[in-house]
Amino acid sequence: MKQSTKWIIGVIVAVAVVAIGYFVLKDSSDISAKTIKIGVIAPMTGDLAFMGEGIRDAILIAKENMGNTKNRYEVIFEDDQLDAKMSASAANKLLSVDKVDAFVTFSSVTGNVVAPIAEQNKAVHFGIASDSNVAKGKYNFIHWTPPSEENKVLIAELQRRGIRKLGIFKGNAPGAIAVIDDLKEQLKDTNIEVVTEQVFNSGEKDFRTIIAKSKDSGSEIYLLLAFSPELEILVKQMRETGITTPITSIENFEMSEQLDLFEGEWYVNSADPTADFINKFNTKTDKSPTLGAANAYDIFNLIVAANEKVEGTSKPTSDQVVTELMKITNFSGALGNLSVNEDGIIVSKAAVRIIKDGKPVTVGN
Amino acid sequence: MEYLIHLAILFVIYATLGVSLNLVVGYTGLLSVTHAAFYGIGAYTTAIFLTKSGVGFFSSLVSGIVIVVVISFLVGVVLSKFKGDYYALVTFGFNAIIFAVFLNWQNLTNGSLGVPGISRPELFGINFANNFNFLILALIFFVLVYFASRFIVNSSFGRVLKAIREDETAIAVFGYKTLSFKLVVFIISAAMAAVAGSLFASYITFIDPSSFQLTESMFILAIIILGGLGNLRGSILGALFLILLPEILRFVGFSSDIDAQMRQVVYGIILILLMLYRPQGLIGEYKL
Repeated sequence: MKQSTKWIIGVIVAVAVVAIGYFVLKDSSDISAKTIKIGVIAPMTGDLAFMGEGIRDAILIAKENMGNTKNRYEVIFEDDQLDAKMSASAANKLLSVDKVDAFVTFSSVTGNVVAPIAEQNKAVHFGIASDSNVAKGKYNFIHWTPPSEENKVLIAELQRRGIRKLGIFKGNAPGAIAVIDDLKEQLKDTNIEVVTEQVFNSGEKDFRTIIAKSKDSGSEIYLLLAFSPELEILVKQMRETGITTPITSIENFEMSEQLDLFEGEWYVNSADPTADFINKFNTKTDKSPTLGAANAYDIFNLIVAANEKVEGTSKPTSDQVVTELMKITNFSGALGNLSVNEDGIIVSKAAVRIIKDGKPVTVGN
Repeated sequence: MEYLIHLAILFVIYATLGVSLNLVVGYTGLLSVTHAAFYGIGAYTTAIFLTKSGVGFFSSLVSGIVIVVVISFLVGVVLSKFKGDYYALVTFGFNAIIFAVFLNWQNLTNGSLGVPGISRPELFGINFANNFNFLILALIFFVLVYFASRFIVNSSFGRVLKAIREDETAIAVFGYKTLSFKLVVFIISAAMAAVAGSLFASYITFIDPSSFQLTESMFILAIIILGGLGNLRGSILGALFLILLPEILRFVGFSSDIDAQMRQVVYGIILILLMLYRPQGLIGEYKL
């Protein structure tokens, strides 16, 4: 290697280390002592960027609408592309450089990576995640409708529609398995029967065999628990093989970008955003709220509410904020009335929705 | 300071992966895109042992290495039947198989939900829950991997590897059993990746299959191509560059609505420029 090349490489490395070191070690005294900093880690690039952007927009809306507060609030967004090492890097950057007081994360992967970091550093952490592991520890909370609540709503809707024979297609994933186990348990007290249950592995592309197996089961509706792209492929292949039986799902339809595939079908989703939130979101973005956006809006407001309730003139500590959060009941949020239970889970109610003109609409609205 | 230590730990783990992959790709000329599979097996072995049994970190690390040695031996035997592009394709297939196992062997790996709550190591009363202590531990393993690799490439064994890279038929004419050489270096490289995987699982304390996809193998390959093939220090430089660059770009003040996208664009442009002006990598000695 030439001497000049060595010099160039040396200079690049030195500049990189000095640049990061400068930002890490620089004094943040320009920030008011009573500024509460909230770090948001979500996928801003990649396949699920549209969800990360929805979360960012929802939090910005919440910040614009928070009114007069005794503390100042600052939000810093970091992209993690739903990659565990990038989530860890973002969390460490937010703690060391931005000195955040609270985290908001999206997905169980990011939540599981950030939860121990938040716990170790005594920073409040809210995960928009279904995995209850994310809520483990004093400083960790999750804001997601529990599967048992969604199953209750699903059964009630099946009964309301007089459906007695249910067919199931589920991905071989712990989340889906847990949902179905709970559903079967709840179905024991009803007259609804599971007439076929087909399982497929993640990454499968050809579902024609399991579709054929279920075709003569007499199912009056099929419950599909699958993620993109398996969900879309499964539905297309069901239609190609002549199955016209209605389909339903729990959450999964709204995780697809091809909502027109599910036109006219009803399904159960995590708690339904209020009209007020939908209006605000539409006005700001010209779009419908994405999955998790209303949760993010509520989380920002819950953090603000808890910080504002802490008495005294000094900046609230994380312990004080956690104490106030645990007291919250009947909080009026974008997902209805919210309460925090003893496990740190924000409890909200599930809703029945239908895809109408390519958009999710709540049944009854 | 914690952030710098965190980046240093990530850098050391990826430098370990880069140095180990360079033995196969840079020194032997075998285009392998399956390193994330062995990295993942090491990570999952540690994660499963630490969360589901009372086994300690170091025992789980050794178990991970043993499992990877056995699997890489079997894979290496199959790979010995292929050359060139076909070799790369088969390694690609193996990575896909291992990813599918991580994703679908629910009882063992917990599938897409991953394995949370992996503990940090503890040895002779030293608790590696502290990031600085963990960095020292990771550095010790990296130094071991680096010097073992340097010993290999400077030995007569290493000279045969380079000869295989330059002209396998010619070296075979001299009576060298090139298949054995390729198999041994493949196993050594995989075992080193398992060490990096164990460190990663224990450091992040959570793993899921998405960390060990084909894209991760491509990322490790990019580290050694960027740093320089056939040069161990090149792997270190490549890891330094690819781990630090996205982090530096976090500090570029784009507005929040285009920040993440612009960082990706700048990252891509820098990589393209680098490959245009340094196609052999920063300090490479060999071009694919």
